[in-house]
Amino acid sequence: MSDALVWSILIPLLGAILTFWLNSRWVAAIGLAFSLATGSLALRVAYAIWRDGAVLHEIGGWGAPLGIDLYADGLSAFMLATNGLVGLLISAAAYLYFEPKEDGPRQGQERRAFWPLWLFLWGALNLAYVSSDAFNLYVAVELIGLAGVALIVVTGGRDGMVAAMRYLLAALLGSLGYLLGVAMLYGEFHTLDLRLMAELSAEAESSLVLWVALALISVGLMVKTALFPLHFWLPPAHSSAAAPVSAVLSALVVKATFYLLLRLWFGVFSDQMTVSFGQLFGVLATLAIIGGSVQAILQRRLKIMVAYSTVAHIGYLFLILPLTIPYRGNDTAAWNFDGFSGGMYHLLSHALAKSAMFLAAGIVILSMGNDRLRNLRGMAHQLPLTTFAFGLAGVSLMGLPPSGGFVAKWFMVNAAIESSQWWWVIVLLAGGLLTAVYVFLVLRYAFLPAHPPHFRAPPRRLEYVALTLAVLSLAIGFRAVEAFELLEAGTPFLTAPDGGDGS
Amino acid sequence: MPLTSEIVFALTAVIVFCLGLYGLIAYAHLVRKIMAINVMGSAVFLFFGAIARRNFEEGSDPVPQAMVITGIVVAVAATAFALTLARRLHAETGQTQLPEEQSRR
Amino acid sequence: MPTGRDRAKEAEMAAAITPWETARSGRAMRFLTGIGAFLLVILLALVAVDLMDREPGGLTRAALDSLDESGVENPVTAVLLNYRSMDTWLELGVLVLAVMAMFALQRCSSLDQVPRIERGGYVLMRMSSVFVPLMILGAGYLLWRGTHAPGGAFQAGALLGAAGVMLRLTARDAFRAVSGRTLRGLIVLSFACFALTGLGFMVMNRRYLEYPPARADEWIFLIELLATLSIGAALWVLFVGAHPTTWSREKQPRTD
Repeated sequence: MSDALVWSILIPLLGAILTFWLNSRWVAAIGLAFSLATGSLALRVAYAIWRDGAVLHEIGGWGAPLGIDLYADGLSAFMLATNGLVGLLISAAAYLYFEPKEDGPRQGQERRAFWPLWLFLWGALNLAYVSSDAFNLYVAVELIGLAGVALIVVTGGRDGMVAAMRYLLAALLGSLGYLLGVAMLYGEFHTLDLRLMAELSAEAESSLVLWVALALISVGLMVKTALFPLHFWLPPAHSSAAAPVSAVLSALVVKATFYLLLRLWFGVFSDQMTVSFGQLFGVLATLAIIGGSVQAILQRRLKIMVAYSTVAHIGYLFLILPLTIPYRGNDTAAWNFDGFSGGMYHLLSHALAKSAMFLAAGIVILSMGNDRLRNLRGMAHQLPLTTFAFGLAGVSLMGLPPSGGFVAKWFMVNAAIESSQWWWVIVLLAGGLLTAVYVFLVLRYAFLPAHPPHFRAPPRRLEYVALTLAVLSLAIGFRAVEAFELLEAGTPFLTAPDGGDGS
Repeated sequence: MPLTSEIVFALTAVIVFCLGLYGLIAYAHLVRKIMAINVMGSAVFLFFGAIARRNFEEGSDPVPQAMVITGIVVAVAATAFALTLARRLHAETGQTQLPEEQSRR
Repeated sequence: MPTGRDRAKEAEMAAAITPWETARSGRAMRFLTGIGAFLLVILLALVAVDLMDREPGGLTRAALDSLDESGVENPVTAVLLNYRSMDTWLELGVLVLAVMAMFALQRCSSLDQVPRIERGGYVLMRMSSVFVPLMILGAGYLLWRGTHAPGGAFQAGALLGAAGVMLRLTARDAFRAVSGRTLRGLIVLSFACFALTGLGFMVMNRRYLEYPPARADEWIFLIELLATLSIGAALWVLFVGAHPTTWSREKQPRTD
């Protein structure tokens, strides 16, 4: 089973270099085949971890600390599965989106540029979820950043290039902060393996070195995750890319660095997770939710609105911190993982809903020419499936029952009440209301009767893909138990790093 | 505390890192920004070097040294792409810096 | 007599060159940034001094103890190509990705569309005809040296790439002589072979990238050789900044 971890990295990467080398008309078909293999393998790995527990693969046979370990527990498996499921559907969408309809030279080029980069990105994401080595993760994070930036410029355009440049500078700055923090951690612990570091740090006393390393790593990765004050690069970058690329960036890429933060915070820096640290991130999350939503409401274009909505929903993810760290007492044994699971579930439902929304926005641009909100009149009539998909995804983002977003919020609200931090309940509910405002703003225009002047029917199958994503974001609300069990498989963060090696 | 060479290295690394950070934020020209990021990167590599030298009696630690080599290649690749992007931007817009953030309503 | 158009063009060029000093942020902003950077220096310096004062430790012992099984004599090379070969493999991947990204960005520009470079003067031409062969030779030497002393694939590849840059700067375009697919093949070659080697070991019930200790030296040398070629080619392409032929018209015969 442990070989499967390697395969889950290798298949997309080999697919990437194959499509890059061939560069032929068959690029999209080959890319889709590799996506199918990658996605189904990821789901299989997640299933195996759910059944049998964590998996370890010591690359080169050396084992940590000298070698590099791949280690996947429930949390990794959850991320792998999220990536697999959403990645599969986005691949299908990209196959349809970049299909050369008029056989112009540009479309062909976009397709040839897209597939290698996307598969490479997928491989790097999978690597980030299974690697257990801090420096190896640095390389993974750099790969993710570079591939993400390159995907934005696949469709060209001046705005895209400006956005990509800003994103690239932010990404490079973020990874350097992370790397300096890793250097300090190596100086402190003489190892790069996250699991060994977690063991050592549990014994070590809190020192200035650890706090500064924590600050560098947190800020570095927060830039890449676009947490509120550091989100400046995200809206233009995510809104100026092609629709499938926007979906990938919003649904998957920002989550990778967030996952890494969770790993480091609750693993290596467990001693530093004080109440004030948790509350600080709660405040940042609140600012993200309120600020991102208000910005989204103010936008007059669909795609940039959806991008600002991502800023807001990244805020929800960071609510994990105050909800997990108990408000009284600094005891790691008292961590409340209900809020944690709820937050992770929000990650999954947001990934599905947001990719559905971006695809819907892409379909709107394909068929109506642009995505100005006031030009959306008549959308419900002309594009009923897309409108429906957008609405369903909106329901999940708002957190109405029975959606995945509802389950996530339910758990988060419960965790907040249990730990008597009622103020986060207000934030969670206010965020839902604000989400409702901008979703209804779009739907209001969509249902106004009008005949769009230059309507072109979009590929029908593309609409079905968007709809599938939206339906899934709703349907996962019914299968929450399995997902929560998966998250606890191999007990991430709950000590016992030697337990449950399935290899 | 004796002023050993590794302390000098580490302090230099710290100063250079912050200089790079200042350059990245304070200057608008894209080539300057990219150079600033490279300066910061070199500082981090120097810091790794200082850590590697700490126990010199046993010989310096090869792991940070290898990480520096890997890091350099990563930095070269990222810089090459950043410069290509900057040149493309210049060709398209005639600008050598990013425009002010504008709100697109 | 400069015409108005010339002057406009001059002004445009000047505008493109001079913004070195015109920061986006005002003076006050810069001052604050400076203060912030200074405070950060103090904080990081405290950490640095603290870290340098620790007990000796690290992985030196472990790296030296396993050196016999690693197949090379130089500990840094052992870390790079055996203990942490995953990093090195991915690092080749970063180069491949950078080239992919560059082609995605420049997908319209074949070599014909990037600025032409004039042939250099007599001295440059003569010098390059001496230096390029020497650099290729030097790359070979560094590669061989890497097994027992500082050196290895990256240094050798960089030298090879530099030789390519020199060829480009003297407008001796060997770049035109290779087809796009050959060039891309060369760039992905070591990344692919590294992965397939590792997979081969994994299929034979070892771990990914776990060399059989008895033969490790031969495998490592093979991979280093391929890596040198790939790194050289990738750096060369990244410098030239264009695909040999137009990216989307692979099959078309070249027109020059």
